[in-house]
Amino acid sequence: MEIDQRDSSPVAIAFAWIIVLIPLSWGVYQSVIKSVPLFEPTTAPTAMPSPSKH
Amino acid sequence: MSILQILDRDRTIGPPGFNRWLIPPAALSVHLCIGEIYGFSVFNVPLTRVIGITQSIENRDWTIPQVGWIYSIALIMLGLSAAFLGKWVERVGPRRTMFASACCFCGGLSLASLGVAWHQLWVIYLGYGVIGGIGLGLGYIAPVSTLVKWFPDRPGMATGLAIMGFGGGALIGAPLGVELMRYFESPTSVGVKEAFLVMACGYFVFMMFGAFTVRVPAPGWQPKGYVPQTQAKKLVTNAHVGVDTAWKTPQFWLLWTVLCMNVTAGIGILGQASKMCQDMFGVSKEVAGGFAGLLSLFNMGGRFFWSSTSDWTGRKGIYCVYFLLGAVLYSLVPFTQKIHSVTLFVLVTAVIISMYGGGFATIPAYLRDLFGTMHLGAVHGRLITAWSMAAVLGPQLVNYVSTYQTDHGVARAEAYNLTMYLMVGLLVIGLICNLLITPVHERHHHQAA
Repeated sequence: MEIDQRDSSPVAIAFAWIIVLIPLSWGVYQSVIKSVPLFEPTTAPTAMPSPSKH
Repeated sequence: MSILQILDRDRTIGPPGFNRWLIPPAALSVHLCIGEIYGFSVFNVPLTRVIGITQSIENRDWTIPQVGWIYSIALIMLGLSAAFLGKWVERVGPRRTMFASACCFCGGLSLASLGVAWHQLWVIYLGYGVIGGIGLGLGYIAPVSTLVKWFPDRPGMATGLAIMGFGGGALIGAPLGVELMRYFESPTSVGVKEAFLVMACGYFVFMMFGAFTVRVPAPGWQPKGYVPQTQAKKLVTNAHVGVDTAWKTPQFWLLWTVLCMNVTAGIGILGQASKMCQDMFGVSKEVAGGFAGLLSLFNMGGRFFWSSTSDWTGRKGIYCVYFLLGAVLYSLVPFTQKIHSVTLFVLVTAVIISMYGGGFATIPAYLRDLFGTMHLGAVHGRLITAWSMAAVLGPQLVNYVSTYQTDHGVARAEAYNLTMYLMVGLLVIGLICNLLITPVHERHHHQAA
């Protein structure tokens, strides 16, 4: 079996990380955007009443 | 050279000069794909409108409980395949396992797409649930022992990086699924079958990148400058324990309980996050959905943060933090409702969920400390059954207790208080089990022939 004796290229390492970080960053961005309304004052919290039991 | 030969373990040995920092992205590429299961709920409602398109047609369209089984079957198969195929994974190595995982997971998604097109639910159960679930189990354990072998100096950080991807998979899979369904939506289709097919193709390419990037270290390889500890730490062994011996030791079952308790408590909140937020604070469905997304973010981040921290604190120490800090935070949840502080509630639950993720990510390093690396993937696979058990226990506990409370006149906003105190009890059990863990007796150590 042939063995490649060369050191791993820094470009290859950077490329590998970019490949996984791009979709991950997109996912993080989507989550952050959707969670913003949670901290906006317009979401005025009001507790739900108990269901009436008769 | 045939494709099967390329997948051989012998052909995946990292050559001299190979940089180990290529391994985490390889592992992440698989975990980011299979973690899509956490975001599967975005397909639930569209799957109930496959015939009716704009609304569900009674007796013709599937119901939510029927559709819910897809997720449950997939998680059960994840646990079973990880438990039963762990030895095979150790034997054939990470590349073949990742390849098999991609074939199962993406093949399962494609079959599920056909199931939607034919409107045959059993085909989706078989595709996404059974076959896809096997892909999940294989993909989950495939890179773990490889990473630990490449990073003997930072095993917690290494496994945290990979398992972080599983948490992150929901962050990508859920919005991707929504976007694809929106794109393919038409008067004759809800867009699910097309979304499944596109995701299957995309994920397969991505997983192949991982499978063909991953390498195993050459026997005896060590990172530059790494000096193995001659004076072993109390719980860290330099010996190895075979999988068939490991699972018969008390340490294995104590760890099983530790994981089960940590996951039961966390998944109970994660699975009901949106509903809890609506019931406790009266926020809208959309805002509550944002809360669930935020928790997924902390679930992912916690996997890397806490697991990396465990390299400094030791595994036993970090689990004590999960259980003790977790117990305090769970007890605080009713207080946040009492003072109507959404911000405090979000902060408290975010830290709780970060430690839930941390518990998952730290377990492989804990196993490595106790049982060595020889059969780490296989032992990890068997321990994953604790997750399957917790995936059933956690949501059921929260659902049952909160429903019981509201049925007995407790205000809906306060119906989760008792559940939180029950979770504290589970964490105390986990803490006791963690404190009882001692080093594995030498008689269990593998003797080299």
